[in-house]
Amino acid sequence: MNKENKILESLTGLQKASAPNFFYNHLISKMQHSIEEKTISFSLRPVFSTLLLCILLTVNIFSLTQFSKKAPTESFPQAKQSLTIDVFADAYNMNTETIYQ
Amino acid sequence: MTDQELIFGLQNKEEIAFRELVAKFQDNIFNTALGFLQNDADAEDITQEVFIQVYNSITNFRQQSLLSTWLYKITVTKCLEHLRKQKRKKRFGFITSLFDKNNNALHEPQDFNHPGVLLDKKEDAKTLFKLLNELPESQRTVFVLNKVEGLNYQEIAQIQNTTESAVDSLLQRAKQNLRKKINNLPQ
Repeated sequence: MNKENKILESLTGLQKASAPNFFYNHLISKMQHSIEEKTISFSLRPVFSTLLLCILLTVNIFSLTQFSKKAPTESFPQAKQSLTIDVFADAYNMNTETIYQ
Repeated sequence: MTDQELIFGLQNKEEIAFRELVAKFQDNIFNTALGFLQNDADAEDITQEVFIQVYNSITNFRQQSLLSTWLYKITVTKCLEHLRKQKRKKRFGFITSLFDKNNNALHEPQDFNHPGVLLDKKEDAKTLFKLLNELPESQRTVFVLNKVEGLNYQEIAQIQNTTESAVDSLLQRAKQNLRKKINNLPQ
């Protein structure tokens, strides 16, 4: 047999190669790993982070507008503030007389 | 389990069906991938990727062909993609490092010994596998599927979406090219 044919016929009688041992276990662990990676990569995707940022900004703007609306009614004028201090002192019996008695 | 039962089980994401599928086809897929890639680790990686793709896209399988044909199609596509990637890396090898820390060439294909080759044919088979890398994709695919995986013309034609006569002519051209390359080898 010449060289050409010898090389070309070298695969005659070839036995099939078998997959490595524990192939199924390796496959399952790779699948689980790829699922974990997917979840992580999803949270790192620009779409996801931009969306999260937008939600945060909306909540911020909403809360700011709401508080600025309520602010004048809830802010304490000087008179009201002193009144509350008196009420507080009365409630806890903190008048100067009682302290030094 | 028949192919039909297997497909039904896979579509319902049953673990038993998936285990059965892997047990039934792992050697065929691995052997085919090994014929293309000539590297155990790469062949195992591609085999795993094939099964992951099957698991994820079994709902898209229209059952117009056999399950085995579909699996071989995915394997061939993935192997060719992998080889193209390797070629690209090799091309950019001039820009990146050509050698690793131990001064071994990073992008040169290593000599490959298929584990199923008979002992007295090992050297010739090694040469043949080396020359196989120089064939065009279509000829290489037909050659690997026929000579390494042992598929007949009809099965290859279904995998490649072509006719049996086209498969035959591709195989003849592959052999002609290999003969030329063998004659050009240094003595």
